[in-house]
Amino acid sequence: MDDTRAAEAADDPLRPQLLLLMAGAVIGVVLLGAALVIDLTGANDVRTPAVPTMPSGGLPTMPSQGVPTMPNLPTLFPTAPPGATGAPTELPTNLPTNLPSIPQIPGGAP
Amino acid sequence: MTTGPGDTGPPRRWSPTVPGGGHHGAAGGPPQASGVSAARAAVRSAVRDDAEARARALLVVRLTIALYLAELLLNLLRPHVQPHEPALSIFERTTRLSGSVGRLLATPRTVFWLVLAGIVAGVLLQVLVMATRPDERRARTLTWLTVAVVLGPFGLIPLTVIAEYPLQALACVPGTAFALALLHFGQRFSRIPAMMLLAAFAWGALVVFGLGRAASNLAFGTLYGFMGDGAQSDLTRLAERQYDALDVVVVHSGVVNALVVAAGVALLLVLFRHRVTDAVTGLVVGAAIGLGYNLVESTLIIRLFGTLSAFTGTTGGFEYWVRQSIGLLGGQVAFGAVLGAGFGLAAQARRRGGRTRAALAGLAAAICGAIATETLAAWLSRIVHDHVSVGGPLDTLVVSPFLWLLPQAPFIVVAVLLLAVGTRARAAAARDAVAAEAASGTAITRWEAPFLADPALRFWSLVSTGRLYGRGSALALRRLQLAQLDLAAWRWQHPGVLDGPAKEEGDRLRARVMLLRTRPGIRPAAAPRPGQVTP
Repeated sequence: MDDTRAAEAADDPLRPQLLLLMAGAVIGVVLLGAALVIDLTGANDVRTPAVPTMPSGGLPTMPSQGVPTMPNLPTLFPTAPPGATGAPTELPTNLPTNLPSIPQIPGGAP
Repeated sequence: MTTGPGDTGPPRRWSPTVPGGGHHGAAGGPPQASGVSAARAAVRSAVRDDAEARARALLVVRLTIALYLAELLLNLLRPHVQPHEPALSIFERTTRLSGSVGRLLATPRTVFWLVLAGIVAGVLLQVLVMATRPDERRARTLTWLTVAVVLGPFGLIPLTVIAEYPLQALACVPGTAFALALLHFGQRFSRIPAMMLLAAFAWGALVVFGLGRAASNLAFGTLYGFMGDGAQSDLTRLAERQYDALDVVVVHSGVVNALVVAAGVALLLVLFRHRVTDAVTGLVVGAAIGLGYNLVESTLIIRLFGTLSAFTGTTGGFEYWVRQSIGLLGGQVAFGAVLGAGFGLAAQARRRGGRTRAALAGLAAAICGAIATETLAAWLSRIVHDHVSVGGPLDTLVVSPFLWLLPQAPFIVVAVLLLAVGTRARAAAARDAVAAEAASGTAITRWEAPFLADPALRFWSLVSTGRLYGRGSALALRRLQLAQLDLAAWRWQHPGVLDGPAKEEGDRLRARVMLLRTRPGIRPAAAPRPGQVTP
């Protein structure tokens, strides 16, 4: 009994510090509650852009049968325009070399 | 007047209380020894190495490893979100990153293997101790070796951070050193040993940060596995689950960090010899642990935010400004201080209920505060920055720091009030103890008692002595006063009738005071009396 009283008396000076610690704990719990509310309501969530949902079974596979095939492309291209018999193979060689000069402009060249 | 070389050396404020310890050395002048042996002697005199202290240290180590192993087990049991996931999420290689970031991301894997090797080595060492029953000295060495090999691997993560970003770490040194000095010199009546303060700092930097990161890394993989299961086909939902997992990781980190800080405070209070154990002692130890954590975290965040500023909108310079100036004593430092004060008070309380309440209140405040401030600061910033332009001078210097500190402010206030009330309680206890010692013996005279109980008067007496008789006399007087305060602190911690080792310790402290009083350089007049006229 005396020991208990002695312990209580020894702990009396500690009471203000213990109260301060309890106050800190209460403040912490209150702030934690506020933080959890913010988290759980999504008020602090990062805004992520919507991404299209992938099909549940993964990407569709290509059908193995009934796939249309590409038509055969011509392997030879025409060598002359349609209706023509063919491109000229000989070009004229005796073209005039002297061309008429420009007439004199009154007042000089611009 | 005075003095030999021993008189001008730094006074040994925190001498051990073991027989043959530093008290005698301080009184008679320390023996000449080499630097290494002197350091070894200092460690041996400051740290308890009895069987009880070693058993408690091993208990803390076992609990720490149990925490890490529990994280590993949960990670192994998680559902796999992606095909071909490895058994442990830390072995997942999503992208191959080179450079410092790649090395940082690889450290949890290295830590995993080193911890496994450390556990094996620790078990072998303990088996060796049990099988061979070595002598006391060898058992002591093997025990501390066990602690080192088991806890050491966690230090790899913070050491990698500091080695990769040395400039950022160096930039954080001045502020951290200032805060450490503040913690050391801010204690009244009885200071904890400087070695204890540095050990607390190292615990925070190496163990709390390392284990906290290693555990959080595993926890994120575990939570993502459980929360992302079933959302594999919906990329939007998968991303949302990832953010939800991050929210829970914040909660997890708050709990794990606080538990490891608490383990550090308890361990240091047990291991180191210090004169007074109360709320102020615990507060200083807890704050130093938080400061160590803060140094490594600041180094990492300053670098990361500096690199990713284009994406995050925050620069490394801003992080430095917030974390190493106005917020230096907030965050982990404030939470560590409150937690440490709770544990110090629990150690001081006589009743079991009081002890439990103090420890739980400190833990609750630290855990809840750390979690809440992470979320609330981000939320407040989001609200306010819809109306305030980001990155301007007003935002950088006022708005953002204010929003960061606002949720922490109640805990900083609680820590400051705890320091003030605890210091006041110390002063009252010091007055009673000094008066009791002055009444019962001659080590403290009734003229000296008022000066010893009042820091301002004590300082004034030192200055006056220095001006009248020179620096050597002032230092000698200071040494005498510190020895008398040690004696008064002993009287405070042992108020009842004593016998056995406690009484022997008291006798030794009195002998030390008497020896200092009779040394050259100490004059009766060196301790000014009340009413004495001084120039």
